[in-house]
Amino acid sequence: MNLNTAAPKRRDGIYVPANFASELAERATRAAVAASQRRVRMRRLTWTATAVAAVFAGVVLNLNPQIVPAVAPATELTVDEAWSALEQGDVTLTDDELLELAELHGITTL
Amino acid sequence: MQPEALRDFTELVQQHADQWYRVALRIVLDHGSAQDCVQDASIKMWSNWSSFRGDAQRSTWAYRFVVNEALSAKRRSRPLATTDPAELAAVPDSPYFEADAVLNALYAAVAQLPEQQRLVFQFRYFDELPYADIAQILGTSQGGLKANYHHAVAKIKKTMVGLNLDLHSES
Repeated sequence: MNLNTAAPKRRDGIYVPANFASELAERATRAAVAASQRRVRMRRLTWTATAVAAVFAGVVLNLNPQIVPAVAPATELTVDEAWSALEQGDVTLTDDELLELAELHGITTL
Repeated sequence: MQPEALRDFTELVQQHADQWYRVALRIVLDHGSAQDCVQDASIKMWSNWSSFRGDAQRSTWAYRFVVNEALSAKRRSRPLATTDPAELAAVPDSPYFEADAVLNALYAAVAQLPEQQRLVFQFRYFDELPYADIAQILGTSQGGLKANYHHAVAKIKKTMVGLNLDLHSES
């Protein structure tokens, strides 16, 4: 029976006993599999959490539509407001734009 | 992951763990760090198992993870000014390392080499790997490896010549 478990020395002077190599292999395999299982669990958790959050948000929005962020209404400007802005010099128009505006509103004198 | 894949992976680790430890130890020079490198490399191997394209042998593919892990560990742990006697001597600090004066001198000479030359020399001289495998592991051309090995041997010979030591050389 050969009880010598030490590997023969190599050129680099490192001899790795068989029992150490086998323990190292076992530890490395276990760590690799555990890390992989952790990754799968994390992925599952993330997906579940995302799905639950999406369903919850859907239910809440359905039950209470007022909390939907309101879209800001488009700013409406009356002709008078626009005209006074123009008169006060808040708006600068080119001659062409001015003529076009006057034409549009039937203004014959400025 | 398929059970066959796990079986193949387990088999690969069992067959090569001692060699991976040896490779990692020669790079990081520390018993504990070398074991960590083997473990971390195994984790990465397994998580990338399905991405293996088959353009090299599995064992060669696996070596790359170990070498990369060991090089990263070495860079991370490199102190500004080391006081560790093992690191100063550039020999592995491990219960499984034994060296005479010649081997100690060889390690010291190898430590003086640039990283690429050091790795090529270690794979070629210590592990007696074919250039084709080393090229796959290090991702370089065989021509470049041969040139690196040639330079490494020349430098080591020059370093050791004063000690009247001899190395098996190969061109």
